Amino acid sequence: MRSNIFMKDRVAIVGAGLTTFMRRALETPRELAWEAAKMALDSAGLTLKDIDCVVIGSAPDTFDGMHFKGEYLADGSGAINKPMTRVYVGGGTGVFVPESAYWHIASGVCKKVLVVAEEKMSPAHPHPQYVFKYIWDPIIERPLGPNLIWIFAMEMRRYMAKCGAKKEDIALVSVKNKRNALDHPAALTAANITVDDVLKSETLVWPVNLLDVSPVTDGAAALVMTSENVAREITDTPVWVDGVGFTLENQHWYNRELAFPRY
Amino acid sequence: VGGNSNTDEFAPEPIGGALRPTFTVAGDGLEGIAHAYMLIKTGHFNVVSVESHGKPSEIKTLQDIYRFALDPLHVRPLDYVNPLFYAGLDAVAYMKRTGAKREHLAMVAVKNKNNGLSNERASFSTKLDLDYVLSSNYSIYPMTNYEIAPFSDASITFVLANEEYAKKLTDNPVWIDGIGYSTETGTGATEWHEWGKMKSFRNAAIMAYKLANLNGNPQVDFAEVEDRFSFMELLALEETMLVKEGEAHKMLEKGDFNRDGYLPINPSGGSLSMGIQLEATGLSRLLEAYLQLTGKAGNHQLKNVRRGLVASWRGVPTYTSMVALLSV
Repeated sequence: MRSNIFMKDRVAIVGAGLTTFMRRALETPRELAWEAAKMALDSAGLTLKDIDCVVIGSAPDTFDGMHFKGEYLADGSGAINKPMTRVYVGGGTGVFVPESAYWHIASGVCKKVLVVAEEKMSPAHPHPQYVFKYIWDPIIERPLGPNLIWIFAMEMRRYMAKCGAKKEDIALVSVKNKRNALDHPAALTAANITVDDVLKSETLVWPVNLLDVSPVTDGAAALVMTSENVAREITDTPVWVDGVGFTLENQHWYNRELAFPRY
Repeated sequence: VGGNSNTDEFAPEPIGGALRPTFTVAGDGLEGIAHAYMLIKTGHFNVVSVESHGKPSEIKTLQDIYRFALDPLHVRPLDYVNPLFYAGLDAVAYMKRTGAKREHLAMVAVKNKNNGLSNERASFSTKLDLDYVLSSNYSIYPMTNYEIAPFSDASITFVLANEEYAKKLTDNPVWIDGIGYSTETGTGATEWHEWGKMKSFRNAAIMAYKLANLNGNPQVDFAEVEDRFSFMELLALEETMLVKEGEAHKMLEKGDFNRDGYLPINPSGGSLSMGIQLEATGLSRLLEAYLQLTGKAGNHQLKNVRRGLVASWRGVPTYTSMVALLSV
């Protein structure tokens, strides 16, 4: 990826929306998507008529229990009769969707893009962790029965050994972030906890404790992104996207340096 | 950039994507091409590869996957619904609107299955005559088994580059003059679909022609278009404005769409001959157009083709379509 100082259009964020994050939302995935999309449009003072492209982001279909999830979310995301595309990069999808919107605008193809990310993990029974059984290589890894926390535990253990971090140090991340979220209206598990609480919570896969991991949630987020000219018309305070970047590691987790993500 | 349905990030090494900017487009491979087009147009990228594969032969319970594509509240509870009924409804509505007869749908299958005989990739091509199709039982009314494309496995990769690099890499590049994609309505709200039409083709075509600075019919020499259901070929030609509305079946009857006709359509045999490779289907249409324009189509090569159109649809029960306009 090379820099391009002659880029056609600078890219700005001019509106945003976020649903409350919760476990087992009563809303359907389409309703969640629309709730966030409507908030984003309202905050930008635009309506669906103004939007010329829609980018949707959502992890594998299985969580929502919908095949062709992008198409299913299309009307909830305001994509009717518009160029709509769904992208994903696994767990990083939420950040990747606005990156994709960036090149929709920077290429000059679109001017006003509605960006919607949605995930409803609760329809998976008994727990969405079962869905992750199918992300492994079917020949080499799946017979071992790994799950995600299994892999995180190895990465955390390796990181602790290599960088000399203690469990107490890592617990501080959880303490800080859960405390930061106390005033956040969309947060699911904000809490005022101590390092001791983290260490004493249930051990899932050593050294990962329950309070070390983020919970399963349902929710949606949306942005309105536009080219520079349009942004200047809409708002005095656009947020500029100065740069984007993304990369993918190799296919198998055991070929990676567990403590140091090269990607 | 890869376009596949449930295999998400299984493919970084085989496509050279490890430790490179790589992502999945959950859509037809042609949508991946649209992303690559935009990536290159930003000026940040010189060369982008797009891979799409489909391996339907590994799917044990295709009917169940279709079931999960249907709206969970309105349609899925109607048990034992064959999801292909959507295509049947569209076909009937299309015939009613345009006056196309069942025989015209069968003619598409006869043309494409026979066209495929000279294409080495067309595993479902066969020598077929009209009477034989018409005397077969309906599979999804008003179509017989011969008018519904079967599944096949494939992986297709394209390399796209900006003008500067393209000229370095090859003497005969194929230019993407325009590309477009559009969704008419969500699969959860099919009641809003305009039956017998395909507005997504129309909108995708308008987007592609606009990027190519054209207005209306792009005057192509040939086209590779959606034909997973026979009537879709006629509908796609009308919606992409290659032919006038309601004229497609008349032109088909006159032989205009034959390989030696005035506007050859699916000279490769189309999906009816080559099969549906899930999300790689659009790229197999694009591949055939690329081969024609570069003169590498072998036994089914057309003469003097300079500009071609590719149109693909994501299949039942979606209303998403992609259109690309190519030239040399």
